[in-house]
Amino acid sequence: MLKRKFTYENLVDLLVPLVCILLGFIVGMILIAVAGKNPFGAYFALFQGAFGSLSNISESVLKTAVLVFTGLSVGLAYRVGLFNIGAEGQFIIGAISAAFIGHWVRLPAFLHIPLIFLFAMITSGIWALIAGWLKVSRGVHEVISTIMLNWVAYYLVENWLVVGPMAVQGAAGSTISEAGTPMIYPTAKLWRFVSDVPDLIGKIFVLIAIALVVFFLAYYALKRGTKIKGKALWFFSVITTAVVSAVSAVFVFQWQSGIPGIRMNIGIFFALAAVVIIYFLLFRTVLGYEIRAIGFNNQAAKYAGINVKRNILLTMFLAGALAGLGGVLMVCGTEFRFPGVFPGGYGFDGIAMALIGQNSPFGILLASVLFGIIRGGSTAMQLPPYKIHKTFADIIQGSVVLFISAYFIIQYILMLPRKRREV
Amino acid sequence: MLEQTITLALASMLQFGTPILIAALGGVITETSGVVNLALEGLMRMGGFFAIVGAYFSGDPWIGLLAGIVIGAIMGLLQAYICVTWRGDQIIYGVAINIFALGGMTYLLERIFNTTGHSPSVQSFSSGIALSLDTARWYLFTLLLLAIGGLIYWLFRRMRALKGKKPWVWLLLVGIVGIPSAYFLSSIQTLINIVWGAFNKQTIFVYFALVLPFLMHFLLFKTKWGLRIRSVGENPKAADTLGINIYLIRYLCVIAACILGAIAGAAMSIGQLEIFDNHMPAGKGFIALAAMIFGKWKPITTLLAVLFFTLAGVAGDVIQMLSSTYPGLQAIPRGWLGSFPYILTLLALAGFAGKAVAPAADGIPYEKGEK
Amino acid sequence: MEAVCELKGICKRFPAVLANDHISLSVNKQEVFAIVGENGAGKTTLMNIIYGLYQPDSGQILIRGKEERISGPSHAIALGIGMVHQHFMLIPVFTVAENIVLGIEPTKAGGILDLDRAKKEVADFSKKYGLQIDPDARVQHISVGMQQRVEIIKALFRGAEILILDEPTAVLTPLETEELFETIRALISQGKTVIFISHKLKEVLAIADRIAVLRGGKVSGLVDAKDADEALLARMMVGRDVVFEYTKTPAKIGAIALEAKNLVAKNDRGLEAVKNVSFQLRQGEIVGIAGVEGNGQTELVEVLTGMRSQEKGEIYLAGESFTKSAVNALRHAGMAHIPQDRQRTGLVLPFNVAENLVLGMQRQSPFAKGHAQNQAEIVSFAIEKIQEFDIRPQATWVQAKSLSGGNQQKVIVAREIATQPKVMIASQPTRGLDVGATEFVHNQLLAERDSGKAILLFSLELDEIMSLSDRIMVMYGGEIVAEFQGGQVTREEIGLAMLGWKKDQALTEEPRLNAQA
Repeated sequence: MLKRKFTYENLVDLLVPLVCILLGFIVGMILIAVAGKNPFGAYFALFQGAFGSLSNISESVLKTAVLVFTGLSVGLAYRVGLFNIGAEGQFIIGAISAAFIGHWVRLPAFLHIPLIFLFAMITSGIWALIAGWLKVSRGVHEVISTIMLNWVAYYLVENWLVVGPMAVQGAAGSTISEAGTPMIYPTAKLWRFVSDVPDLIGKIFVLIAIALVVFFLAYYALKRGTKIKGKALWFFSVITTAVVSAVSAVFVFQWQSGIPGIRMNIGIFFALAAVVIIYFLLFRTVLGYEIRAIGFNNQAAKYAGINVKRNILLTMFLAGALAGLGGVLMVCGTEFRFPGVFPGGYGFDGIAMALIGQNSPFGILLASVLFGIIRGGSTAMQLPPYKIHKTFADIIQGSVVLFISAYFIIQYILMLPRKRREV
Repeated sequence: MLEQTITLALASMLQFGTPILIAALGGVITETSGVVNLALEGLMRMGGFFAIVGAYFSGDPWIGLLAGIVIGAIMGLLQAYICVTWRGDQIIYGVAINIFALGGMTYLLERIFNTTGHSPSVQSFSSGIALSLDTARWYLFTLLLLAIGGLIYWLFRRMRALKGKKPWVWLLLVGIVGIPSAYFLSSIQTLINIVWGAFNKQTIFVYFALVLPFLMHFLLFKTKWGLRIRSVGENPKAADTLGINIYLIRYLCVIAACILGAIAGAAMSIGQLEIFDNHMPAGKGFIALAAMIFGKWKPITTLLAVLFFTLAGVAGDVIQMLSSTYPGLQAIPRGWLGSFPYILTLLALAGFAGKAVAPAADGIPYEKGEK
Repeated sequence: MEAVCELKGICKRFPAVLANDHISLSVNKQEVFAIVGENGAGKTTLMNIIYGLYQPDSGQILIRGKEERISGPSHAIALGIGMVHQHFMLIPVFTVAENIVLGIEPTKAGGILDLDRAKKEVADFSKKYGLQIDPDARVQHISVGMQQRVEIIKALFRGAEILILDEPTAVLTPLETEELFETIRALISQGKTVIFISHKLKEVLAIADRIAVLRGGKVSGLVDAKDADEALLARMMVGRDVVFEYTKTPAKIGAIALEAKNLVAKNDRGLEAVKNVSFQLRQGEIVGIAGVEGNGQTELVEVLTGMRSQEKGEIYLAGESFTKSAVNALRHAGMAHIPQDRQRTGLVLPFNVAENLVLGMQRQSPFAKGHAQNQAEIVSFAIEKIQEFDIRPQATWVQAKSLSGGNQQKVIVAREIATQPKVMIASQPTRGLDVGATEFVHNQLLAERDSGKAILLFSLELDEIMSLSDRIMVMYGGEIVAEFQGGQVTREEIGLAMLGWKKDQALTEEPRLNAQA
């Protein structure tokens, strides 16, 4: 058998997205320079805005978490051969669902939050399913149908529900900044693990979570890295878990005060988990194999006995659910209600994340981190002396995607050194 | 009351439909040549903005229009270079331009006008072309004649018995039946008033949009260039073996489409309004694409599709007007009315799209010497 | 003798292969010059070079004694070269007249198409050469033979003096082939020159004056047709003696494995493509289904394998009813399928070899444990099959798209045999393969037959059908019109059946289903 080699072509395939990102930044620099500002200074301000303080980092992390979800939504649908431009609409549906369950249902936190997740995943999944169904049974191109669904979601939610049946009553809704749906109950809020100290039950939950994560990490590390097997494997994993948990318990129970005003919350952990889950789904399960087969070659998938229609519908549902979870993070983690002026656009950003990340879950994560930083930092660029509007991030994003669409040009240029050597 | 309602509905249909129709026809020509243009939305945004910029600095709306056309042509060249010469992914390109236009125009709006809301007012076409009642009568006559002629033509196509007959049979019928009845109907004062009300003070864009489908139909189906464009969209390899320059044709069609997209944007900014609003064009570019599909990638059916969609679009205006007489209508939430055109588009596509056949090579880049 | 087209030392390299290696040939005026060679020998590349679709890396082309750099098809047309491609270069939605005049349209003032004049010119032209066509018919509605005629007229209409025909008989019935030969002879008598490319030796011997043989991109022989026979040409094509006669053991016929009763199915355009087909397939036999392309074979294969739903009829697999079953159910019950288009149907090209080797078995043990995939099993299975079937390169991680056609087919054959089927449906299993790979596939099929499997072989190649089959059925117009015992039937008998056994009807050019190849 031939050994796998890392060839120059493989390197180029990895480099193309990076070069596209670099070129996007250069376009940004040119625009700043044209505006008569110092581009290096502006980028410095951008990165300072992203990393300068804990609160800045927290804002970048918040944005990253949401971008991961919408990016995964688009990327997963792309794998089955559908271009989900509708992440924006699914995001809105997820957000309004969270606002609904968050305010109109009373439950303890450990039930309330899972219920919100479940409900929002179902509603936004069904919203995406409309486009999937139109594609599978009516032959409507998903690009058109998802865009139409975005507008329908926008009008029905923001111009009807939020200002009508679900609007906050009384004086609280009298100004624009206070308009929107009523605040969700504290039990529906995602834990801001830097600023909010949990109560006793919360602390126990944290410990359980830590124990679980440590156990799995230890188990896998021992299984892969050592020759320990069977009962011994379990034994050592449990021992490690017990020790680490005991040590962290000391810290957790002594935990008295947090740093107020840091909005970062456990949403980012959900996002990281989603990346891992989607990776496993795509590359380690039969369903993922079938999804990829359909996306690459519909006809061959049919030939192989794969239920193409069912898988497309299922994938579209999952894609919608992912985008909807992005909306949940927005409502339950940051805004605590569906605000009158909704910070939209994350769905569209998801498209860019998926394209830049080449539809691979970890690629999407990296792209989301990068653009989370840019989004987080671009608020700082709006301040004097640079005064660059925050849609500047859109320009960079748009140009990176533009360069991605010119994939073959960049590939050609990167292949040039190799070609010369051959001649 | 009814007369007013119809007049208002028609007038707003013309306004609402004009940019959509122009953009949709851009879609028709580029997709007929086999290149998908998903960037129409972004192009409308760019065209609309640059038209305002041009008019703002020159004080002349024509210069504004020219500026819009120039930016359309530049974007067309870019698209052709990436998607035709370099076989880039046409859908990704479209998405990129849409994102880019979103941020780029906001950036420029701030750079040039120091705002992120809307631009200042400029000299524009929005005051429109005034119409006398007499001229309105001739408009009515022409419209009626077109409608009757079209109806007879459609019946001809339906009745296979008349297949193979020369066009003079049709012309004769139109002459005998169409002209007198159109003349008679066009003397009805109510109808004249409605047409006058609908067309009075409409802009040149409206007239352009109404003539364009017929021009494009002529180009695509009656000239040799049309035959070649269609051949490139159906089977580029076959066209290539006959020495037809696929790249040239696709370049021209892509550029034409982008220019039309930009003009559609200008029709919104310096046509309907005299400002560029940062929310423009609010999905109209995508409705245009849906209308193109609904119109089976053909110019005149696309015109009919756009009329259909605009009906839904103006439903809101009409209901608002009617609600002063029928207060019950006020209960309908604004969000419902706003979402109506989009829902209708979805329903129309759902009931229809499966039957439409796109040009066979639509969206597939052509590579010379491909095995 | 005047040489109208001379090639000197033509070389053309593609990334993976040297397609043409110093080819020198000379074609005389008013002759039928045949170029034969097996798939991949470089015939089509050479013709595309003459037609200007490819540029040679080195070498000269002389047209009527003058050296030319043929920059593209329009240049070739201007030089009087016309080409009829193997896959017709027609626009299905256009009429015959529109297809013919495309690019040199007669116009009125201002570029307005003059379709009436176009129709008249086309009609005149077809009369002049005795090639009957209807200028108003849409190409998608006319038969393949008709479409070929349109292609020939298209070339002549552009003033072609040298006509290149690339595998022109591949899609024709024997009778249509005979008609084509008549046309070619008529053209020669009017002063034209024909370059005839084929891999069918019998036809080449029947029509050509001189024959050039290509092998591996080189000219391996140049002979006068009257001095040549099939054995000689075959030896020059392959470089060794070719035995297409397989030594077959007598069939050990077993129970009925697959039975179809009164199957009716429609094609993609909603026309009835399979009409009332019934047959029985028994264990241990190969049943060949012959027929010209587009007579419902594709649809029948798809119905039998569950990929297309039928209108009427029943399917029994080993006695159990599988009427209207999903692909999955049929596969589980022991149906294997080698599809006719390995790239579009048989493989997921961006998947690696290991992933492709379990396509269709992805939910079966040991490749899946519940919903999880067992990567280790998939890879070890792949290693086993790669060695057993000598798939190259020997690597599980290589994408299927970078494999050669023969190796791609090996992946499919290996996989389908590994399912241990009761019934194997092989649709054109050797299309586009070279002799070595073809022999390999044939031997695999025979071995499967000897181990008691039931094999249904669909092929357009009569030789393949005749050398492998124990029974032969012929499909025409969606029906099975004849059945023969293998080894007791002549080409002519099958050829007649391929025309639906009604000679006069075939001449009237009844539109064939799926005319679009």
